[in-house]
Amino acid sequence: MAKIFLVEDDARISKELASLLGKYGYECQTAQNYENMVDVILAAQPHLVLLDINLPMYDGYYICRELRKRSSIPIIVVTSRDSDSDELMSMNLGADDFITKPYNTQILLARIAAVLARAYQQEGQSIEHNGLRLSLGDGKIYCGERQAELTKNEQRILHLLMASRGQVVSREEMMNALWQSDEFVDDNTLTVNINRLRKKLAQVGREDYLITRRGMGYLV
Amino acid sequence: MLKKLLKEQIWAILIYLGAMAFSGWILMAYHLGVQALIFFEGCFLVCGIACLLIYLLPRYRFYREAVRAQQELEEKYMLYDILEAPGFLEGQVLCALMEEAGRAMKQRIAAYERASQEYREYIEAWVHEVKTPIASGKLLAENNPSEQMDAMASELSKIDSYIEQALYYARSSSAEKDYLVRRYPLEELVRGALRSQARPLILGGVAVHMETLDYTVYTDAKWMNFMLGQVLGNSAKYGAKNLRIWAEESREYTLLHLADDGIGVGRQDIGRIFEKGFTGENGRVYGKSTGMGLYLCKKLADKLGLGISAYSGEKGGLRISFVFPKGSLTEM
Repeated sequence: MAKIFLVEDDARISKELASLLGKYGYECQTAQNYENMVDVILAAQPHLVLLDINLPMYDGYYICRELRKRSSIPIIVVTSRDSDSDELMSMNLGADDFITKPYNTQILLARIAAVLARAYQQEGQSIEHNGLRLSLGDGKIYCGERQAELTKNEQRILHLLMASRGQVVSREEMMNALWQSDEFVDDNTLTVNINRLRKKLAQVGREDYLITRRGMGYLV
Repeated sequence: MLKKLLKEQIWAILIYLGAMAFSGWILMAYHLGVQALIFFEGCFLVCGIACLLIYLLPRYRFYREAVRAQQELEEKYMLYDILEAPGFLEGQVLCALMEEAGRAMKQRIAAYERASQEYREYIEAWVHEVKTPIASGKLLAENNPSEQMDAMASELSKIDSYIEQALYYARSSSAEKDYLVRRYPLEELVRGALRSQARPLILGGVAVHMETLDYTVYTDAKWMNFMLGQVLGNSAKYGAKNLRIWAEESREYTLLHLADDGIGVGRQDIGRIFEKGFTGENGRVYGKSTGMGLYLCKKLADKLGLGISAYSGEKGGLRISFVFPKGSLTEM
């Protein structure tokens, strides 16, 4: 499980972000001690740092620079200022990516996944729920001995559903997740995608895996 | 100029000529002879013309120079700065007064510039501040999915987009140049805008038909994202079900078209669509128009040196076209 260190001085954002990332299978750690933040981060040995620029004591740039001096850990800078100078500054200081508030959480998740994949060239994470495993590396679903290959869209839909396990995901939510990965699908295409996903789930013997809540959405 | 100066002296000249005629008549009356008359009157005339020239020439030169300089000058109130004080007194007084007036004007403009700069900085800082609670609210809504929270998230998105408008309004009216024109793939710009307007477009049920956009254009990415966002947001807001996006190029321009099948704008109103506060008949029916979005687009496009135009479709609907000039002229 990838470990993410959150450096964010807004307590509510920090808490909500941790709970969101937790749902998507990341382990989160935060810190309130800004004086020796760099040491605290390095001691925690995270896989990635999500760094806010506006902080008490030292600003994010300072932390970014200090981290870079001592480690090559991936850093994503988060800021609410959308100026080119901030972006340039972050990149010059060695940040791996830059994202502005208020972030679309789907974008944030996509960036985190991309940076992690780049940095660790991992096989790809996998997510498991209720006896079904979705491997994000090869885009296959496994259930016991059986397996089926999903298309990118099917994979994204299933990933979203499995991350929000037990909760209904609306069709709008699914479409938004697809749009954020540049698949500008309309309502009909989504229906087609979901039907195909159902068929593939049936192939691995789980035709009842995806539950429809009429007028609300879907859940697993 | 010379004519006007002469005309102004017409009475002096007439009186002088009258005096010459009178003195000539006296000389004649005393029978002093033709030679004396010619000599005397000749002296009189030469002196008169000399006086006139001494008076006219410096004035003529000064005013001709002043008018020419003023025509060439961009900041008209700066005239005093380039005008040299002439030898004659009225000119000197005029120059001194102009200098004083010009300086006062300059100070006043500087004060306004400072004030507007400060105001802009405040808006930027404020926008920056308010984004944090919005981000936090959105996360809160997403982490606790429910019908109410979904509605809340969409309200927060609206607030965010209005705030964005305020930010770009401040930027558009600022004299400062805070954009960077570079080469971008058109497709990536459009995709970015679609991503950021995903929610309103999906909620509005707009189907996007994107054709190949395999061109590069010169623009500022953030400003472009904002402008495209306004156009896409309008499509979602005004009942579009289909949105077609395509591009074409001519010898000098690359054109990006976004055509929807929403309520559109009536033929009689289309000319005013980029005016501030324009809502049009259709916009008033929807009752949510502020008439700011396209006005800002036009303003920002002008600053970036891009063209933007609007066409109403055959059966309702609206097409907005962006015109990107090609070539290195726009490259900075």
